[in-house]
Amino acid sequence: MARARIKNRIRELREASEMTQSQLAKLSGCTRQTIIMLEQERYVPSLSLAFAIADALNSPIEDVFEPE
Amino acid sequence: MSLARKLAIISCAAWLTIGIASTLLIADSGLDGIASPSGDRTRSILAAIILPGYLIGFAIIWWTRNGQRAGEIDERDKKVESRATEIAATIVLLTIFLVSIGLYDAYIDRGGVPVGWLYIMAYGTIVWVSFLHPVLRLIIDFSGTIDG
Repeated sequence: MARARIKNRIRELREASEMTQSQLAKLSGCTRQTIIMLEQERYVPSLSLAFAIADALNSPIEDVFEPE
Repeated sequence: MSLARKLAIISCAAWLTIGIASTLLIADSGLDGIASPSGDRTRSILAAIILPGYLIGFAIIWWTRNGQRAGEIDERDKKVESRATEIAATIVLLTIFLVSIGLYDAYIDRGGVPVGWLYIMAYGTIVWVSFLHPVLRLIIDFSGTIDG
């Protein structure tokens, strides 16, 4: 099965919210390592984590993630 | 550094040390020594090093799942761990097969394998899998080749 390609705007939205990676990680219930991997688009999150990140960034999920 | 990464590095270092110490002990005692009554002391030392190490590993897994720091292992860490387990199982099975077939080939003319090899294989499997798993976790973690 082909690996899903999902683009995200996490870094852009996080920086706009003046949030650190650690703060975002804490708010979305994951580790800073995962946020780093997500920002580098080296990890595609589960649906529940994607919703948690969008919620932490106060953005609708479709603004944060989009299929490539 | 994430808790999962720290634990993998610590496990790696601990099992590498245990592996080297065990190899030196076995080399010192010799294959016949390990299987003879005079090898009791070596066998006791090996069991005293390896078995608690293995049990401590299980305790750490429980601690990161249910203990105080349960929230510090996230979905990606669990995916990395799961992928490492899959790969480690395949490698360990292959290793056991290759060692067994190698012993069969080496001792077929004698009609029997020295019993010391069974001891080495039993404890060696524990050390090998305990070392291999954190190494794979680190490789998968750093390579980023995993998705949720």
